[in-house]
Order: sequence, then C-alpha cells, then structure tokens
Amino acid sequence: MIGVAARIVRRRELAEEVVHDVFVQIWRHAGSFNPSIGSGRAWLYSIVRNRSINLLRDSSREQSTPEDEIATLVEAGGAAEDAFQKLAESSALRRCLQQLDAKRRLGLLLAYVEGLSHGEIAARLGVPLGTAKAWLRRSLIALRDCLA
Amino acid sequence: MNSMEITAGEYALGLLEGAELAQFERQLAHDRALQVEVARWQMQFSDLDATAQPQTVSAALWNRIESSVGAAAATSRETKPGIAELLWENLGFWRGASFAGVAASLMLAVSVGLLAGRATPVPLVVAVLLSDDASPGAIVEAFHDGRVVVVPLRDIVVPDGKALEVWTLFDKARGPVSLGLIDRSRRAQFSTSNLPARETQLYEITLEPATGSPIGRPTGPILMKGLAATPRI
Repeated sequence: MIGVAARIVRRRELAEEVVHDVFVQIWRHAGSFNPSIGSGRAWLYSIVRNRSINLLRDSSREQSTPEDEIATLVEAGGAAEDAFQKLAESSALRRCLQQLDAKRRLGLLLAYVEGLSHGEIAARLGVPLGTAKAWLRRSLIALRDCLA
Repeated sequence: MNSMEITAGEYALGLLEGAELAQFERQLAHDRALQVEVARWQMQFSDLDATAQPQTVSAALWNRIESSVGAAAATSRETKPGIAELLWENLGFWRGASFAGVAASLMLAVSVGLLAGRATPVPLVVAVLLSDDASPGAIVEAFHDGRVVVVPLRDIVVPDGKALEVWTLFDKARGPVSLGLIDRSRRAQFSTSNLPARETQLYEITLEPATGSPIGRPTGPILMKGLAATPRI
C-alpha cells in the first residue's frame, strides 16, 4: 500500500501519512465496502489512491517542495512506464494497453499510477487540455472493448 | 458504452475533480449500477497496483496507527462500551502482523459475509480468527437463534488429553464466556442462549484440558482470535 501511495505522493513520509489515514478509515468503516459488487483488494487500493490524490492536490495548492526535501523524493517520472513494464505477461490489462497508441497509453498510466490530473497529463504529453481529455475517454472505451 | 460508464472509468483513474467529482460521488452513493461500474473499472486496473514496489511498514508508523485507532475507539466509547478495550487488546495482538495480512483479514471478514449471505439465515456477525502470525485460522459465525458456527481454516494439532475451547468476550467485567469444545480441527456448531453477538465482539480459541477449562475462563495459550463484524449483504 505504501508503494502505491508513494508513486502518487512521491515522498515516503507522505505515503506513510496516506496509509495511516487509510488504515484508520478502514478500521472505522470496514462496512462501506460492498463485497457483492467488487474485489476487496481493488477496493482497498482505490481508497489508498483516492487518499493519495487528495493529499497531492491539497498540498500542491498550499506549498511547494522545500529544497532540502528534494533528496527524499521518491524517484519521479518513469513510474507510469515502469508500472506498465512490470505488468505480468499474462495480464489482460497489459495486452489491451499494448494495443493503445504509446502516448495515449502513457496518459492513462499517468492518471492511474502517478495520480496526475487532466491538466498535468496534457502538459506532460504536450497536447491541449481538450485533446488530452478526449484521448483519455477514447482510451477508456478501447480498453473496455478489449477487456470485455 | 454509455457516457456514465466512461465517467466511471475517469473516476476510477482519479481524473474527476471539483464540482464534477462531487456530483459523481453524490450519484454514486445511491446508484447501484454506477457502483458496479466503478468496481468493475477498479478491478480492471488493479493489476497496476501489484506493480508498486513493496515497502515495509516502519515501527513508527505502526505506533501512530495504534494511537489513532485507539483514539477513534475512545470517541465511540460512550455509545458502545467495551469497544476501546477490545480494540486495544487486539492491536497488541496484531502489532507484529504484516500490514497486508491485517488488511487481507479485514477483506476476508467482509467477503465471508457475502458467502454467508447466499445461504439463509444470514449471520448476525462474522469473525475471522487470526493466529499470531496473522494467518486466518478459523471463521466464526453467530446467528440470530443463538447458534454459533466455527469453521477451522487449517489443521490444528490437538495433543492427547487436550481440546480446543471457543470463547467470546462481550463484557470485560464478566470476562470470556465459553461457547464449547472442539476435539479436532473441523466445523463445529454450538447453541447458546442470551449471549450477545455484536460488532467488534472478541472471539478466541484456546488450548485447554479435554474436558474444558476447569476454572471457567481460558487457562491455555490463545491459538487464534479476532473481532466480529456485521456482514454487509
């Protein structure tokens, strides 16, 4: 869980913060998970990711990273690509992502793995915001068709 | 594929923000079809979670989680006496367990609720009992009619002249109450009357003499224990 959070918040101590909050949240509200509609594992990680993204977006509004903390940054960039490379050969998700155009695939991975927003993805891919949004929606459609 | 399905995918990716996110979450709270859609996307992306670098949980983090959960329990003390104490006891027990183990157990506890829900009647509470290495050792289900069913999840070696005794603790002042004995690792059913079966109630199995503990409370080592949760069906 710390690993998933760290790819998004990029700092070990923030990732621990996320896991702390998630654990307390689960302890209090284990019942908000409905086992009849999904896997517990996926649900758990979705909470970790949501919490990480919230923390990231809150903190980016409030403060920039102080110089002396840069050394503690979890290696940024490449986490999205790396996650794709590490997907098991047998993974249907890997096969379907492979069918996407490289840039569009990266957009999707940047959102899920690194928690980037539409705007950040557009900047990273060097395309206008509207284009990035349209790409992501079309990628989702292609993915769903492929995984069906 | 309709537009809401795609929006559910964007939500699962973490792309919705601000008013759009708030509106989506409002609808998600009561729209079961949408909940199913989101769960489906989460499931489809979940392979990516497994690619993250595994990292160990530091002792400092454990300590913080312990004190936070303790505080959370303390705030509910007024309405549910005993919860704080039970949580504390179990925190000590789970402390050495791996994080994933504890999370998986929580997941297992709620998943079992689902399986139980397919049969009738539905248990009032379900507890997954964990060994001290945090592996699931048994499932306890307590029903409205006072029946308590214990299903071991692995073989337990019971030495000659010994038996496994199942206990529950619902009142700290009264102490653990015996539900009955099991001679070996197999499904057992006990009939109880007037014993509560509540959320966070502690269940445990100890090793006792073949005829049960002579003093009416546990004397042998605790083999496994866990807290009850209400199955969400």
